[in-house]
Amino acid sequence: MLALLLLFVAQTMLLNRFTVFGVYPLLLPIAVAAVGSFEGSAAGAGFGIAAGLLCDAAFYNTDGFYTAVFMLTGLLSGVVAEYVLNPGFLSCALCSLGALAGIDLVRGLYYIMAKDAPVRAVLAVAGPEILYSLFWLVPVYLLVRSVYRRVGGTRLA
Amino acid sequence: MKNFFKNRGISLVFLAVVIVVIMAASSALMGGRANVISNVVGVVTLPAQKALTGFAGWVGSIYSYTYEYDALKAENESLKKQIAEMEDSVRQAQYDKEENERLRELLKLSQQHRDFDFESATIVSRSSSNWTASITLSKGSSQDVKAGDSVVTETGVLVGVIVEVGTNWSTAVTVTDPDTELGALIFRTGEAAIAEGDFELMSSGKLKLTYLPEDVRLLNGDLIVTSGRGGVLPSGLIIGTVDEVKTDISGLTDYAVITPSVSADSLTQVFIIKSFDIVE
Repeated sequence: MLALLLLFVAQTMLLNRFTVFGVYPLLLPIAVAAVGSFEGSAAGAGFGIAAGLLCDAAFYNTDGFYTAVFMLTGLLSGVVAEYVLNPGFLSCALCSLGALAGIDLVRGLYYIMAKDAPVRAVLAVAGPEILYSLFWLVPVYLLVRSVYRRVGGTRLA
Repeated sequence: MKNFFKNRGISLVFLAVVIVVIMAASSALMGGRANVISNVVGVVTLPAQKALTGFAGWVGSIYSYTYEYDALKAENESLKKQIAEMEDSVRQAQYDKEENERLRELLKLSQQHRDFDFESATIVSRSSSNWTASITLSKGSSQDVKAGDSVVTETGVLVGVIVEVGTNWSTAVTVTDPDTELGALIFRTGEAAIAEGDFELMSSGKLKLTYLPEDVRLLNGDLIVTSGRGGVLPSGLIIGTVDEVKTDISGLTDYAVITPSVSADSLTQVFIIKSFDIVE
């Protein structure tokens, strides 16, 4: 949970001061995917709910969106790690990519349909956001892995 | 040596008297200039004096370095501390000066709009999402801040509108956020339109002016202000200036691109208008 708070502070209070290609990174979906990958679907979903609640509390006009998406991310990451790929970096990377793409797909569709945003404008935000967030994949993965190895993870399972 | 003085004592005394007489006479005759003997002595001894002075200075500096080093070090530390304190004071003074200027401007605005009830607030954070343009302010329901209140600069430029209020904080969407929609007036012509945030323009810090009146002729730099219609926002708050006029994707209607008169990124302090007189 300390790692979650650390990543939350980094994402919402530090990294949001410096944009790269005009965007900020999302660290928490990667952390949720990593927890799911290491500890299984139940712990992943639990960690996802905690991370999602934090994001929904911090961001304006999200209405539980992050809680739902992060819970699903944790759940699916666990399933992927249990049945499809071995737990580790590859499954975490694929689940992070899936989570980031899913988040931006939902948000993009909302802006296209509700706000008449052109697809190219949505892609101009979503593309850099996914790439820049994945840039943080290794440090976030290593942080979660070190927590898992030291204290046995979140112990939510 | 004793015999030398005994045998030649009178000669030496005589020689000394002669030298003294010559020196006295030449001093009197030279009118302030050094006499020959003094001059010769001076010329010969000057390099030696210089060397001695230099040596003495070097010895003095070694002495100072050896014996005063600790004192100088302590003094240096003390001076560094003083400089840091003074720099801190200068920074505080600069901050106070800027705040003072903002409050003076606010006073002018207050005098123009005596009905406005202002609450000063600090911007504590900016958007943490790439999909919205919002700011978090340091004042909330404890200070009677409500959703829908306008957030302005000290000069009456609209920054955004409060959308969410906590006990001691509030969130405002800026004028460029896609959720923003404001009744607007083209100041030069007095014609009404709608200023609204646009997802595509948000990344460049701009917004749209839509529902333009038919046959309207917008000029580059036309000032856009709030209309105040509907009583949601006060009238006359500056939104921005017209940048260009474009035709929308359907090709049927025109809209103007507005550059806001202020960017929330450049602000640290804003003012929330908690109440105002509605003028219809």
